[in-house]
Amino acid sequence: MNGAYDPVELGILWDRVVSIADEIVTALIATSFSTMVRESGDLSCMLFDARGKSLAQGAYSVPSFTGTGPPTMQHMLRRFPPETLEPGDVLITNDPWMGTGHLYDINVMRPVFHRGRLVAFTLSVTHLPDIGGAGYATTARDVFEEGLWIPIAKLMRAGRINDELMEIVLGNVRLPDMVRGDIMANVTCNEVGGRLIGEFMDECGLADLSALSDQIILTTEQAMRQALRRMPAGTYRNAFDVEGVDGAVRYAVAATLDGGSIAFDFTGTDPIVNRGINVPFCYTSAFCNYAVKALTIPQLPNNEGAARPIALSAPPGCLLNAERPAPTGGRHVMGHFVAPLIFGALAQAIPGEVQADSGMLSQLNCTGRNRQGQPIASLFFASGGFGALAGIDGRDACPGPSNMIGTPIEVWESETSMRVLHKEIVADSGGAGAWRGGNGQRIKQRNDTGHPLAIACFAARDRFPPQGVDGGRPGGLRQFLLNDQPIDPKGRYVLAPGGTIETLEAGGGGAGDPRARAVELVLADVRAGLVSPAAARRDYGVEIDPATGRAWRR
Amino acid sequence: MTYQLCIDIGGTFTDCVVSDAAGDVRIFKARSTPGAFERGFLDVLALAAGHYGLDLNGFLGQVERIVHGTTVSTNALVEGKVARAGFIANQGFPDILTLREGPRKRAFEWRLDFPAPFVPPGRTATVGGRIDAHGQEIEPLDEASVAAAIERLRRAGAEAIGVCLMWSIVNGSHERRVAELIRAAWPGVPVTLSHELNPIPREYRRAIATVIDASLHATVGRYVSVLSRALAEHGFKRELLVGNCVGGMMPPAEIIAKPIYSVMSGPTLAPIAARHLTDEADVIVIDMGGTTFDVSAIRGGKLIVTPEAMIGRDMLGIPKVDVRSVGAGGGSIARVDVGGLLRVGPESAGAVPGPACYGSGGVDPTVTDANVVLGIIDPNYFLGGRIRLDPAAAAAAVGRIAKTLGIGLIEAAYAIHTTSNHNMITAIEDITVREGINPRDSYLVSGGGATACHIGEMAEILGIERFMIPRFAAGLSAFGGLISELRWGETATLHTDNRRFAADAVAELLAELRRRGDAFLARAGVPPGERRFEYVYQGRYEYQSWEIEVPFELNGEASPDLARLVEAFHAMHERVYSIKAESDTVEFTTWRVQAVGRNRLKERLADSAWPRQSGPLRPKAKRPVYLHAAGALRPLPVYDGNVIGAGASVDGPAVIEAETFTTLLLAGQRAEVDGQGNYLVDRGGQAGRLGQPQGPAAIG
Repeated sequence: MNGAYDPVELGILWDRVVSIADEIVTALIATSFSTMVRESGDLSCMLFDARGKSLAQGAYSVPSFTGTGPPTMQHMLRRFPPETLEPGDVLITNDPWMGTGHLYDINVMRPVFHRGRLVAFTLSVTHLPDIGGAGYATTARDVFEEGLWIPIAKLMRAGRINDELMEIVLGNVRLPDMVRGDIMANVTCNEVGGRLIGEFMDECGLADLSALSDQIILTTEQAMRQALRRMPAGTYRNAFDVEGVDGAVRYAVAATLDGGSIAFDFTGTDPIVNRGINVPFCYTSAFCNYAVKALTIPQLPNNEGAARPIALSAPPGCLLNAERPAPTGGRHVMGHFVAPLIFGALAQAIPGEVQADSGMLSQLNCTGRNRQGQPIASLFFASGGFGALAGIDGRDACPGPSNMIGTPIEVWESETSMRVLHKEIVADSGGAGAWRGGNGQRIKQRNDTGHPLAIACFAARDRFPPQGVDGGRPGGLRQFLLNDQPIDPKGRYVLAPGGTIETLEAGGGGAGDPRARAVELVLADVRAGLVSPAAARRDYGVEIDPATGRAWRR
Repeated sequence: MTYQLCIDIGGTFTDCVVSDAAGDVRIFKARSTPGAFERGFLDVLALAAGHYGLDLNGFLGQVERIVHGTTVSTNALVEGKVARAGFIANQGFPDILTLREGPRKRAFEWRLDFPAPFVPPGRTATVGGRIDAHGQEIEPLDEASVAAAIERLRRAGAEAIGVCLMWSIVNGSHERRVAELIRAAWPGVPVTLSHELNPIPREYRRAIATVIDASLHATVGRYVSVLSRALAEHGFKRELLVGNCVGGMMPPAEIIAKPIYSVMSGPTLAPIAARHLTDEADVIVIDMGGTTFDVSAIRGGKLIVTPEAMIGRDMLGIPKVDVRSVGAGGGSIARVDVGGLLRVGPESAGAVPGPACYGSGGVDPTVTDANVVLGIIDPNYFLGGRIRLDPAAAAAAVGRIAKTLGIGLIEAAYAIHTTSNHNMITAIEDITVREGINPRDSYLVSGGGATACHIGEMAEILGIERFMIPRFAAGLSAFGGLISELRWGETATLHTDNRRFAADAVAELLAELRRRGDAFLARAGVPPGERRFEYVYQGRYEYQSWEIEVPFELNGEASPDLARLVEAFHAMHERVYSIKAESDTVEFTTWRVQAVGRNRLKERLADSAWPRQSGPLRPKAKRPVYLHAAGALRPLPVYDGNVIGAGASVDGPAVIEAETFTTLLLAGQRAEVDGQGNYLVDRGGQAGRLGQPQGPAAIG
């Protein structure tokens, strides 16, 4: 036993604190104004004890923010130590190096006072629809072009809003109503969180969360270390190319497994580039945490214990440790590759237990006016196929490593006046394998706003396809088309009224030899339109007689 | 007209709870008859009629209200025995049912399964034509493509069609035209249109509800028609009322038109019963039947309605009272899996053949068999002795598990019993954690014939201090349908906001909704003086997209007072989220009038007290029952639950046997009988901590 609570009590209390974090997420989604939060779930909510140790997070939080949140908390406490905080205070920042890696996310933190004592902190993170500057894109040459910087500051003092700060923020953004609404949704959800924590402590008779948090963190840490010890010790290397702006960017990692801990060294990774796709260290770190947790203890709730066994280093100035004032707007496009980089290295240690590459997310940021003339700055998320894993086909059109949700078409159309012409799964785009990679999808939109729209694209996998594992084939490449002509998936374009933009999302890689896939599974895929008869023959060696529906392997 | 009744059909038993003119309530049970559920329905009615000395026609002629909780649609969906639905969508959007809304995954969970869509791609067809978000036709309906789509679905073997086109909620003309073309080309095939069934934005939720509804038309239509006809032939003069999934009731024509509303109809009545049985704010309601274990909750005195209820691996798409169902019942089958671990359920022996001890041909060991072996259930007093159980068959079945596991018979029986308890506890925690209810501080109402055998140990594990075994535990849902008010909701969409409030249109809409609700109550036989109306709108701040529900009053005016509407919204937003934004625009989207028919029965029940205990309470027998704390069978006193008077109490360990349930009280648990004949159990055993003690005459 790790502490004061027996396993049954610990189970119940642990479930309770996770459910509080879930409730904070629910309140945030319900009160937000922008589609990226309320429909796509571009958010995280976390709970910390009075010492700033991460205790719980909403189950559906995005992995990048839950990784950057704990360091953000530490930065905030260094700037405003606990004795300088009072009930009703709310802190905010969007600093890329102390926050989430770019200026577009706000981190909003509220100390929780209960019966006159500081007992906890809650932190929420959401992506703002706008933060001024040149607008959300990958095209900036330095961070100053990317928008307004908010230092760690008190957004509220003892329950009173900091009007001057709010005025600065709202005076610098294109959509002040929506930005104010989203900031206040963050304030609200943290308020809800504080209330729930107080109720929880009263109900369970807790004066302090430290003993509980120590036990939760230790239990988690021990579980992860135990899982790491089961992997053979050693140093495992991986390197690959990712689409940059003027050619490929080389990624390299050496992962060293040693008696229940793991260290990553990113030496060999190329330097930063002169465009907003560089990745601050905090973001690289978040995806190291994600990759290790997904491989070791995916089922346990996340907290500080899942970060303790992990160490990392990256040479300053390399793409994965970009320093101020490098532009970082699209840091996720590159930063998400940290996960497959690590998976590829560790596949050598635990073959058969690692997922093939996923097609990943793409984003379109549309700024301009809708048909009613209201300003818009809206983000459209679309997923490629999920990578296959031995025993499990990859899901079609499913994001990985992140977990954003696609915006419902009707919500998107009513907000932006864009017209979605089609959104359909593309057969054969998933990598063939004994376990098939998830298919990508094809989405075409027309500008029906009556105004020109600026469209900033955030995507990769247009030159280097998602790789399969254990003999599985790669998934299909991503392609973006403007008025049916290919464009750069990291570019920014003007879409004239009536013009179209189409995205073909990359498929996931397959797992295992396609010729080992059961004939009846190939037949079922063909019947469902997920694999064409030609691909069944070419990739799987399976013939299907269309007259009788009989299938056999040649 | 002297009787009211509710019939709830479960997987194993059909329950009927009847109240006579004096408010005396009785429960009757018959075997369910899967495949032809209406037979069990009439069987149980005949049983009730016999009790009142009447034949079926004589009895039904005097029944003024029949509420029905049906399992027919839930069963059909769970077993995949619904009609093969076809799906018609817009060109370019064939994958709405595959893509769902993401679906959101837990970030670290990459071992994802890949559920097949409710309608396979082979029975999906797309049609040309498009409406935009403002309801304008930007591309006319391509009728040739509609004809081709109908032909494709017909050839693919579709038996019903769901149509969900983009923005049909603001302009339904394309959907309506598609329906006309289907009816002309293919007369008789059931069709559901999304804008009529579920007028909400977000295409997946609307589409999934539409195809589920289409797939249920034939099953529910046949069932309700057969039932209504049979009731009419036997002299019933009113309309049957079917409990729906949002806590209301629908007459035959309405439920046949929107059969999806009959999903989980019976289980939804259980929390309604609990709300009438206790005034506690937070209540966990459990109901273990023969096949399934249902959990629901009351939070702050209100039923929990979820817009995101799941049925199988899909959303239901329409709002539903949150009742979770897992395969853990008295008939759940125990087996040893390949890893050598004991598993109980979700497979069930059902009503036929039933547990081994029923002697109806079942050989698999079930939870009920284990309870017989443990001595908790008396084989000679199951259902008040109406069904004789075969203890030798129970022992033989459980014995096979014991042999496989290499343990003794009693140990194996207890392993089945307690594994089943933990399965149920997991289901309880699933809903309480989600709703932020702490089981330890909650009240619990234990329904279902089989639950009472288990609740003692479950309460210990969960740390629940106080719980109730209602007198009609074995027919909790049926009791809910009997005691409930009549509820009927009429909803319509009308977008307006406080800057440009469409007062006249809102007034007109509310009057129309109220007129329709009033007509429903009239049809159901509610006298005008017993009718009342509740008003609710859904609203949001401009730019928000998830609405909150705000009740309001009309105070006899035609149009609601705008200032009061807005003020109520700010107050509700502040109550739910701790903030309000008084300068923001408030948008109103949906308006609902809830027509409520008062049920005087509750007042009559309060008057008809359960007889008080007179004289000392003595057990009717002693019999050996397994007590885990003792690790052995111990002779326990057995009390006759049918004769324990109000005010008396029984201290555990003891068994109380009533006609329709048997409960095992563990050491430290004290049950006290209230004025209604309900058992209020306090785990601490301290007097005075009971909900509403009816004079603590502790005699037992």
